[in-house]
Amino acid sequence: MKASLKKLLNNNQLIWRGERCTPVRLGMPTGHAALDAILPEAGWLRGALIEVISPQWGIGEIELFLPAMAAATQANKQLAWIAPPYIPYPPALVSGGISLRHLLVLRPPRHQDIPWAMETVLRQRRCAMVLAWPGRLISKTVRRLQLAAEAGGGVGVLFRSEHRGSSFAATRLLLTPGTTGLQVTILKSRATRGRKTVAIALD
Amino acid sequence: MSKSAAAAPLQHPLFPSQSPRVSAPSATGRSSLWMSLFFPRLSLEALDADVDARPWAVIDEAHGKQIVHAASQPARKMGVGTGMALTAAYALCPELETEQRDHSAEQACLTDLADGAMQYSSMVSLEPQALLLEIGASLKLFGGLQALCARVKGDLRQQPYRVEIAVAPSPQAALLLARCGMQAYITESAALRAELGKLPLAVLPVSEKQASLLGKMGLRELRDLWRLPREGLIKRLGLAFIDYLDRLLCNKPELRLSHKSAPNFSASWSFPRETENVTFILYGIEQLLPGLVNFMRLRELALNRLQVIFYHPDKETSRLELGTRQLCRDETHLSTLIRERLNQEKLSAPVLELALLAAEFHPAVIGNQALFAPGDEQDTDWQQVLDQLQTRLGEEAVCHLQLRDEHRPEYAWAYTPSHHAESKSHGLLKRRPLWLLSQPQRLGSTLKGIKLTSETERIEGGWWDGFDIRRDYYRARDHNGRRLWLFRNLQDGEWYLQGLFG
Repeated sequence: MKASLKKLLNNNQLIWRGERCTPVRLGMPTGHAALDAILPEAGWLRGALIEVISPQWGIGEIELFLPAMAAATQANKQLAWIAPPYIPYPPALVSGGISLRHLLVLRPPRHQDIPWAMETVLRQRRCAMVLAWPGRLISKTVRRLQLAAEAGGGVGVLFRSEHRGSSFAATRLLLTPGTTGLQVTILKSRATRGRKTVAIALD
Repeated sequence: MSKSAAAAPLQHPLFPSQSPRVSAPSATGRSSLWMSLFFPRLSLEALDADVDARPWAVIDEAHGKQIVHAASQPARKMGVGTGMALTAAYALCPELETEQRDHSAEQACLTDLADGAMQYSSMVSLEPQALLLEIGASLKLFGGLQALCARVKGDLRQQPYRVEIAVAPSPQAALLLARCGMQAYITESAALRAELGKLPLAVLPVSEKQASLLGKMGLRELRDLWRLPREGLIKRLGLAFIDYLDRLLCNKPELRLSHKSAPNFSASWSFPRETENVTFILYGIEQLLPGLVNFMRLRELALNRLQVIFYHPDKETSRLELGTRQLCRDETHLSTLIRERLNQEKLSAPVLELALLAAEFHPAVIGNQALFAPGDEQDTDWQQVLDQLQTRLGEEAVCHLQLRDEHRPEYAWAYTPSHHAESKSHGLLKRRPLWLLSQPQRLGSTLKGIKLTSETERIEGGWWDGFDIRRDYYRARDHNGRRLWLFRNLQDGEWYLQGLFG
């Protein structure tokens, strides 16, 4: 880059330079400073889907969202967990700051009702965060869910054990167990390029 | 003889022309006023709404003989009248059709009418072929006696019943006046004597023996009775008769049993031909829902259980049960729920007729509505969404979590249908996993590839209910990086996985 150009760019704050835009705080704070720093809008995007990919559960995937969920219930917003793989254990939820009366657990007996249930709940403004373990999903369904999240303004989290191809979800995270906590790799996110990995310490 | 002296012996001590007492003052201090609705042709109307289309009569049995209880207008033109023997009626009108009197149908009609009359008064009593309404308390609300009577008449005009209305300060007088077809509106008990005096004695509900006795005494009208000495009347006609006259003239208070309508809603809709089309079926249901909502609104009720019954032409009836999480009387919400269920559950066969049934009602709790309360509005929306979810997924599928005061991990929680009681978070000192396995998973007597990462936490006890435990709990990590919550069962020495730190 020419020196004159560099000088111009450095001196003129009005020129927008894609990569170094200051993060605007619009998102839902994740509660993990390292993650907030690399996510656009400094938190979970509101009105969008997050696809969480992890080959196994029990590595801290809930704890990743726990601070945001606790903040939402304290703001009198609702949470919904749809078809969780295990029993959400109330003693841990309560000590995590979640008010149980704001947590709805849906256990659809039929697997094909999960997307419908998630869409219904996501459309509600009252609901801040919906976590779902849908199993198999076709990409058209993910698109519908993304639109429902946009309509309701909440955060939808899809926990999936594998990822193939592209997705309509606004954010895709890959979770891997780290030595002291959880490694979160951002596979895709609005307004960012390339993969970024951040380690989240969990005790 | 002066005029006053001539009048004196006629002045009866029991039936003074000026009533010394105010009739039965109610708790609020006002005197009660009764409206009687008499349905002279109820026995006919209960069986056929179009009474005067043909010559027909309702037959009742008296003294082992078939007699005419009521006859339609064409039959009466031929000379058929109440109390006539059936053979005589046939002689007068050979084409006369007859039907047996149906007491239960009459009673059902009367109960329906009483339910409707509850809107004018909270005190409605069922009488033979008539209703009695205490309207003293309703006059102010409805804008006076004239307005109330006009309204009752207007509402009854839409019903296929002929009705005679009378108003009097005593229930017996109101009934008597209505039975005679006198459109009398008497509000003062002092005026009762004069008004009732005009009536012939035949209208009194007395036995045949008493009636003939009254005839033999040379009495024709009620006013003849007022002039007779009380003791003589008691001796001749009995105490019950005098008691009746006392109540008639408002000299004795009278209690009436109030009609309590058991809230039970049913309405049906039949299709011109059998249909499987959900749109048509929903249309039928939507025609019935306003009736249900109105039924609840009149009674200040709300429901959380509703049944739709489908009648199929050549199959057993099928039904659809609907439950809401909160009490509801919102027409659109109920309609949405029914639509959801219909779309989900396929009908077993074409439907010819459907019925809406509701028997479980609860008093509606209508809180004060705030002017600016978007939060509450959202809450109603949220409840309606929960209903939708429950309708489609089933009642078990929609739940909340509950924390229990219990030291054994598997009993420290429960699924509840709603968040009724929130247990306070007791100071949890130890870390607990976010995921609990529904059953502890046995890992064997030794741990392979699992590293314990915490101190021992012993949990034991529970002998009092037969589920005694003795366990040493650890946090651990397996070779995949999963964070486990394990325990070693001290009773059998085995390791179990009970939770995951998700």
